Amino acid sequence: MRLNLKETDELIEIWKKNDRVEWSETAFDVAKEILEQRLGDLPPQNEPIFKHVEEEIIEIDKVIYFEKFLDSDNAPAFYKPKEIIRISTWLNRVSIAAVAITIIVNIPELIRLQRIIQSFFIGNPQWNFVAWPGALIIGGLTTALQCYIVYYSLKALASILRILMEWEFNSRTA
Amino acid sequence: MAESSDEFFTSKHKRLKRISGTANILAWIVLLFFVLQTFSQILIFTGQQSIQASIEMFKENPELALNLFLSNINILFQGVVYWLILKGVSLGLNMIMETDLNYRRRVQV
Repeated sequence: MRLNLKETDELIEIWKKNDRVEWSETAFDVAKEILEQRLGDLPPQNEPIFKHVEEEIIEIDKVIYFEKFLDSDNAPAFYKPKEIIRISTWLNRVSIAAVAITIIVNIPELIRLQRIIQSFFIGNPQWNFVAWPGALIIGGLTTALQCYIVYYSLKALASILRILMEWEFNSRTA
Repeated sequence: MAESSDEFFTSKHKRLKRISGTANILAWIVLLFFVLQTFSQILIFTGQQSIQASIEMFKENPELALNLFLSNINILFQGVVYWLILKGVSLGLNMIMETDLNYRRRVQV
């Protein structure tokens, strides 16, 4: 985003708020330079924000949520809750990585697909222009379907594991 | 929970425990298989020619290098995904078993 296109009031607000999560160090350097040019003096800044309060609350909620499962006095016999938390966290991470890897792996396939489609028009080279759009449509749809299947399967497994853990926890007698 | 396990542990639970244990062992075998497959692909390629010749070949044909890299990453990643799924299945079965035992104990009480 070009900061010099912003109104001075907007820049002052960004400068005062000092949100280092939303804006990078470079953005602040640029904003400082622009404000110095426009105003001469820099307005006072708040303490820098390195983490949003909402994120902190979510993290605290997560810790409280998982603590009840990790009570060693009331531990389950056949599984370790820590392992469930670890595996479900990794399933969520891998689901995102799977989408990225599926897309990357399918890029060379597009070239192959384009050549296959082109081979259908050997006798009619005027139709060669169809090869790339065709490859992009077919390849794109296939990749999207693969991403959808892998992503949601892994996400579903992660959720099922957490629900089963909750279910097991609620079935315990006091 | 631990104290409930012996009293209500039936043959069905034993079977479920066996399946869960098998899934857990299989998870590691599958991971090992995919890691070995990745290494074998690299070894097969480097065994066919010297490293210098491979570098030259990759310079001349970067598409081949990219394909080799991507196919290895894909194989390794598949191993990780299967490992996670089998581990998840194993843990899920254990949790179902534990839940069932907890309910049986509750009914008894």
